Amino acid sequence: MHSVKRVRTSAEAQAAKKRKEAGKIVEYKALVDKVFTGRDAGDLSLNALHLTTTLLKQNPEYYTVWNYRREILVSLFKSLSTEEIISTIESELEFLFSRLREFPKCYWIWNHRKWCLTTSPKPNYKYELKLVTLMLERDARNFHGWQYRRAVVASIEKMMKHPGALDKSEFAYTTAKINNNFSNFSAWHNRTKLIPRMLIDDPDLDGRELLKKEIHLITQAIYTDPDDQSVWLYHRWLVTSNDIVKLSTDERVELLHQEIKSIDELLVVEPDSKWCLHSLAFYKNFLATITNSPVDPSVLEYLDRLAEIDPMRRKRYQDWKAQITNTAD
Amino acid sequence: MAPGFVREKHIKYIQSLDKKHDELEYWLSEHLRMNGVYWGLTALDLMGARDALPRDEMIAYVKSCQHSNGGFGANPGHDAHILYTLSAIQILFIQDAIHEVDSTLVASYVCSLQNRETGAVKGDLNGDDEDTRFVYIAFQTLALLDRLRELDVDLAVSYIDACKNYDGGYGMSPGAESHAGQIFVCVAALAIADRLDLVDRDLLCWWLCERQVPSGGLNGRPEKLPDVCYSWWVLSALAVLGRLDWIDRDRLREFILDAQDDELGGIADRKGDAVDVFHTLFGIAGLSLLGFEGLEPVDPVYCLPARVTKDLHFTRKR
Amino acid sequence: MASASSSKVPAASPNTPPDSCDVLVYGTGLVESIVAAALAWQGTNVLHLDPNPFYGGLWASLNLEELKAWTDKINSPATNDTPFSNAYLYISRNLDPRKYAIDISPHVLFTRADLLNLLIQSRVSRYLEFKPLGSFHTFEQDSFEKVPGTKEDIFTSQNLTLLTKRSLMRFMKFVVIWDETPDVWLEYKGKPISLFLKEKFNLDEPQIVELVHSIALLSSPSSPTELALDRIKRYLSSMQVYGNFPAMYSMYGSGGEIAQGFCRSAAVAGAVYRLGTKLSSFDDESGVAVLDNGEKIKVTEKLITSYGLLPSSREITRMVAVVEKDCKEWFAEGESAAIVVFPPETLDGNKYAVQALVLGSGSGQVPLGQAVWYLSTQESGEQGRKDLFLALEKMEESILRESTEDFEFDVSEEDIAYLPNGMPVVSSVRLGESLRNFTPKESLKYLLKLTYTQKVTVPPPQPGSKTIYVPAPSIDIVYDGVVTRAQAIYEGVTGTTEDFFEVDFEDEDDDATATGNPPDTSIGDVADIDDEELGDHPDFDEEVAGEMTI
Repeated sequence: MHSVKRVRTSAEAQAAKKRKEAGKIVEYKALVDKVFTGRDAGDLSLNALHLTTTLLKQNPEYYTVWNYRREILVSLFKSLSTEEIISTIESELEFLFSRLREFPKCYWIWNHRKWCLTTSPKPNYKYELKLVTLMLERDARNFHGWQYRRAVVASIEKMMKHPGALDKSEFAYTTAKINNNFSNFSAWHNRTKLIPRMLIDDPDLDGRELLKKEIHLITQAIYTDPDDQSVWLYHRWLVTSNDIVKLSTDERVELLHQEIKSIDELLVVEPDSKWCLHSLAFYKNFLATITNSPVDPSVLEYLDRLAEIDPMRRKRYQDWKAQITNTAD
Repeated sequence: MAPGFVREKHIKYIQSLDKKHDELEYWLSEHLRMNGVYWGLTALDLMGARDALPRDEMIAYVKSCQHSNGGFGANPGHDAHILYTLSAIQILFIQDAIHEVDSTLVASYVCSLQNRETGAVKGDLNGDDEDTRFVYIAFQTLALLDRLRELDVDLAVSYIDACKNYDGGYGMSPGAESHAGQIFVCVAALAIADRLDLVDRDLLCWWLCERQVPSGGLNGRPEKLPDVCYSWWVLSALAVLGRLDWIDRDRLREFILDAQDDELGGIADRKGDAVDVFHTLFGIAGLSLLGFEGLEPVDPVYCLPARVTKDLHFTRKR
Repeated sequence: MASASSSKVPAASPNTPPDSCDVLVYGTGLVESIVAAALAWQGTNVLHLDPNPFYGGLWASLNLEELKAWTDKINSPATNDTPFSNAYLYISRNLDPRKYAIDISPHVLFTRADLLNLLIQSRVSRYLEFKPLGSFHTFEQDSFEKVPGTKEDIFTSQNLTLLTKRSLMRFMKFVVIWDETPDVWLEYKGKPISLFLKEKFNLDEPQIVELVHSIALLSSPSSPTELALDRIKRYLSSMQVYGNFPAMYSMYGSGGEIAQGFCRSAAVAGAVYRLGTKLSSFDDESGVAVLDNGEKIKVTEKLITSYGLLPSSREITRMVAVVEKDCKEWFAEGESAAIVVFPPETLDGNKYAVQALVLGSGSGQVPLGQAVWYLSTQESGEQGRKDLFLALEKMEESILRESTEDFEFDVSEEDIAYLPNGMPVVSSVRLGESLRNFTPKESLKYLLKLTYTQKVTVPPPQPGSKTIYVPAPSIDIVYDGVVTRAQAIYEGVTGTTEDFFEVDFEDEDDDATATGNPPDTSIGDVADIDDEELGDHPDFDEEVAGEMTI
């Protein structure tokens, strides 16, 4: 049980609860029996479909019943016109939406929804994009939601026969999510996947310019909340990876110096910021690696300080320090 | 101050699970029954109490869930799915009863779920939900059956590698965000395939150790709440990669012990919440990895008692 | 009472009032009405009278007919028994008087206010409808700046330097726990907040002004540090309670509407109501009250009255203007209200801040296409009126240039931010700058203008043993203190506040929606998924959509 409070009840209350549940159990078991009897007998009727609806409303995790439901639908479609299939799938999607609103993290519902769309002769992926936008408005970190979003976008692009067609609008979407709450690792993550695709798709897009803009954006976030680790993770991607633009060593060194300077300025007002200290240590270490030069001695000081203010991860800082000292020897 | 480990109560709690026929929750969780048996049995075994559940009945139950295609369902009459197939094989493995089923058939079911173009593995025969979880499950199931060679392991490994992100972590499919649960399955799968060289060890372990939050618990992604089950997902990955000491073990141990129900047994996701057998296993397995006194050692790759997996590590090389 | 009102009190028994009662409440203002309802639910026998033909007393919202009568009355020394005086009213011809509800003491409600809790607890909220108020603007250098009140505002702000962002965020993190961290501010106790913000958090003048005047809604920069911190916390802790806005207001009128809700609740609990009934005399010794028609009522416990207060030398100045513009430029998307603050020294040397509450037609107070502006200042007399007229002029200029559609301006990509639904918005600062020298071609049409004075009042020096006086509405635009005052009066009658609204409603009404849920603030429910609500996906052109349905 995730996040369900433990409640201690008296023996009487427990007995009362059990009396109350006894009727429900009988009803539920009877329903399950009915559904499985129907399945064993090969009942693929509309009535059987309605029975699965009732059962899945009570228990959306019942994967076998989702499978049965699929079998019924496939069988029904054989005798339906295309229009009728479309409208059946539409009501199926409506049903699924009501289930998702209640159980946004249930794998089977999302799976069944994907199946409906691949089965539909006329899937409305634009609607799906809106739906998932809504789901992510309710929980901006739901990874099922993000996963589904990427799948929907891929389907749209496939239909348009234009991979990358939605990259820019999806990029704008992550910007909106970030503006709404930048403590959203899911949105930053999606950016790391979109940007390289955008650059491939649009040769006019200047990677250097884009990198500059992204650094400007992430710097605003870093200064607004330096305790938020998602922004530092994204910052590290921007500063150290070649995914946006392949920088020459000189350019990379210049970028590192620039960012080290910016973090140094933040450290003046936030002398105990773990992430400032960590990033300075990390980037100065990285700088030494790419220029083949010894690590700046200040890194050792940062690591000592980190071990002090972040004792849970003390061993990591000690290991890191030992690594630097050993290399120097 | 956290309570001490209430071993006897946990054993009682697990034993009581199959007797709750008068609770609606029991019937609403039928689709998890096979997993539940594996969670309960493994937790008992780690507490040195494997015999607290009847062995013969259990083996008969597992066998009653097998389908003619070789796969297992969650309960008799439930469809076959790779999730329950692994649990079934794990149960039989712990009980030293693998010979009770036709392993050729089980292996062919598992192998039939692999996408021979991408290497990915899907959950069941009509599913199109490919996921790194299922790759791990396929690896482990086949490794337990000593039939790993029947799968295209290299292709599956390349699929896992495609799920790697810039932060060193892994997601459920290419493009997906890093998540501690997915990192565990990917790291463990790479360990089974003997391909840990593909892991960016320092980077990933940094990400993993940052999962520990001030309460001492571990979360699954940045800026999320801690949860006892991540004691397993995060911790086992750190153990496999040899960086267990990058987190504060004492604080984590307190967090897990705090989540116990010290009256009726069982462990919850966090202090004060309702317990369940899933969190009970992963709490106990986490404590075991932390070297908790009185618990049997657990194998971080297989999430099985290390006693039963010790030979696998020599035989799995392809 | 304005006809637009949604809540109706059960017709007060028009026949004879009882011969006796435990408590006679005189005046149906907000505090008295809360007390009347609390007492009635506790079991006290309450008779509630008001000399006016409408509910709300000094808090009322009036239609135009009522407003005219009211201004006549407060201008005549003979009949004026209120703290209001000195009214100048202009009403343009051909307005439908029943389509307006003008507040004489406009108020808004922070979402973390004790009054809101009481409204929910007492279930009075179900008689009312609340709407969100998310836009707080500060007038700076001839333009209106949106006040950054959240982490996201600070992150997306285009005109704060990096270090200012850091300082502001540090301050915001501190202020929500300020009362637990006295070591940070104790040495500034009683000293001006502006000094504290400057010395302890390195904040610059514009941010200090926004924090003190718009977020804390204080009149003077020398307000004591502890008061200002409490007020700033009120704003910040109210953000995100029900959505991305710190405050709300009630539809169709503020305090008077809420007072009427409590009267309705009191009536359900058995209180007897009579409007348009004057109290001629009250004998404190015998407890006998005489009404204007000669009826006599024996009051066994207390008389609670909002009349008979004495004016002090201090006064405040108020102005109401109804304009023929919807003013949506000042509102957040989907909202219909804003607060605009003119800090001291921004209106030709004003000593006190001028606060303006702007309500569009969504408030139910004015018809479509119009808005009502409520301005007030603690400055008195001629200077007070001068400050208000200058503020009015600035608002007029601003709304004219912001609502001009064909005006062209240059915006670069950096000036554009995206809303959560993907809609691009232009930074208001840049807009303000590029429009600074704009001269409007049209002029603004005022449909109504009203200025008046409100004296600060005090209870008489020697109140009788049976009489309890209710203070008049304060200058504050928020309801803070109302519940505390009502509780003090309740305690004066019953000797305790422990059972104040301790009512078990369960048998009375099983309607689950009315029990614990917050008042309906019109936050879009996700239930009905349709195109309007979701907004279009950015850059999703029709061509794409057309291809997809193939």
